[in-house]
Amino acid sequence: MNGHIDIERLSRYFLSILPPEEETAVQEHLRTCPRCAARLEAMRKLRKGFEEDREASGGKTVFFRVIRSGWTKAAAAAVVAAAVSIITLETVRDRSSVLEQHEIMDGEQIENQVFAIDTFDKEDSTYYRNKYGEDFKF
Amino acid sequence: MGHSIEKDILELLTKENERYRLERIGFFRCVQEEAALVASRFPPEAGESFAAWKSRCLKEYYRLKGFSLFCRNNVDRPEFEAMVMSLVRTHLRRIFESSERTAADKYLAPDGDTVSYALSDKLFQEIFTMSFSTVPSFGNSTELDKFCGSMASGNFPTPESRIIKDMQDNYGFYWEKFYLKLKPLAAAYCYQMSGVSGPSNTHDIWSDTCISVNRAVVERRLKEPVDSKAIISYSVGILKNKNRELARNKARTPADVDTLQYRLTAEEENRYFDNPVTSPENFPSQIDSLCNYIDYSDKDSVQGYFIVILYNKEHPLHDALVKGYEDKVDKLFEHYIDGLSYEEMVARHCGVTDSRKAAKECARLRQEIKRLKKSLLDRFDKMLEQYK
Repeated sequence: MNGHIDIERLSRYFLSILPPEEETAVQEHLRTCPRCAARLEAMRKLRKGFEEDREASGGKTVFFRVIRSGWTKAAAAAVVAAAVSIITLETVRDRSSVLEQHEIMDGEQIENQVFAIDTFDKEDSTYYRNKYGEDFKF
Repeated sequence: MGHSIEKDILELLTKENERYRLERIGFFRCVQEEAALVASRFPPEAGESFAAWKSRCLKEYYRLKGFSLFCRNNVDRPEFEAMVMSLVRTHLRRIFESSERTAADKYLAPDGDTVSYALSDKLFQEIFTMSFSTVPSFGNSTELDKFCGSMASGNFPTPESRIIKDMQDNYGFYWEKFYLKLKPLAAAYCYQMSGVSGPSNTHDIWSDTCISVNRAVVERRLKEPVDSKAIISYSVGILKNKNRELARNKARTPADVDTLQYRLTAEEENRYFDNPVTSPENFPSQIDSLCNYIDYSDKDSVQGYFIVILYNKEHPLHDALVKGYEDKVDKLFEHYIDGLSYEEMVARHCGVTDSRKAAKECARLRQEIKRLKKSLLDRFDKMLEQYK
């Protein structure tokens, strides 16, 4: 083989579609021609670069596919919605019980404070007991 | 030989791995490890030619690794089956290129493509089951390759009657090829008979024709015996009728219709592709350059062609693939081919010395290359749609 391997033939070698005899001839040439060997190596490196992404995305598949799937999103949305509604329900129930227990007449004015009670930890109870009296219950 | 044996062996085994997918089928774990093993055991003998050494070395290697037993134990694995399928396809392509065009190909396959030497999944399963039912013994990859070659030459070309039978059973594999065949024909008839041109104007006639022919064949409405010529004749008949109707609607006097119909002669039929409207360039599926070698069902084959087109600037599809991304592609090459790290690239292109700024630039460059890879692959997928 004189000169260099033309790019089309080298591409065919890269794609493994050359007949065996031609393949051997190309391999023999590659041993002595750094330029052709470098071009082949370039194609292989490029392929590896693209394969890395494929493999990387493949590795995550199961977990990320589950996470990204529509059903998961729908299920997550349902759980969040349920949690919000439970919390809201509890909040409303607690607030009314607070209002009833302490006969707070001006409920609307202290609404924000009552909401704050719901979000605070029970350890803060001392503060609220001091404010609303010893009978205050959470 | 005066060359590095390790390097030579590495190339031989890398090619063996690429062709026979040895890592994937589980024959070995790492090509570098194997190359080191072979280099120490099978050095070339004095006066031995490269071809002779290669043959001896690989034969010994496969014998040492127990290739025959490996094949016997793994013949049922899908990876092994896929590898055999890819080998048979390569042989079929070679046989197709060196054979005379069959009648079925002439009338049913797009130019440059084949139905007679096409390997459908269904056909492969039949041939694979038949050929591997009593697991043959392969001492090395060359013997396996020869066996795949005999599978191809012994079972192809597919008899015309079988292709017609599959079309009558509405098997999509052949129909898809035939629809592509009809595309330029539809364009030619539309242009010559009713003066209509352009893909958007001829698309409806083409798709209507496809549906009509499919129904006629599947519902067994064509006169027996049905062969490929009968199918193409029926299709041409439909195209003519549709165009006559179109011409009749457009004509002002009956003479206009006669003139239009008279234009289409047998001689002119041979010149379909001699005008710009129907030239093969307008029908990528007819070009014998890319579509026919890609095995669309095989990710390796598709990605291999993608790399060839991306790397080879002389490839007819290179410009279409990288258009608008030229500078970014250069950076991609610098990173993957020249092996420059993002930090080195930032230093070279931006000349940033501040470490915080450099880190920011590196992150930006990494994202840019990641996005570019995705964009190029997406674009390639869209390009392939035209060829399928």
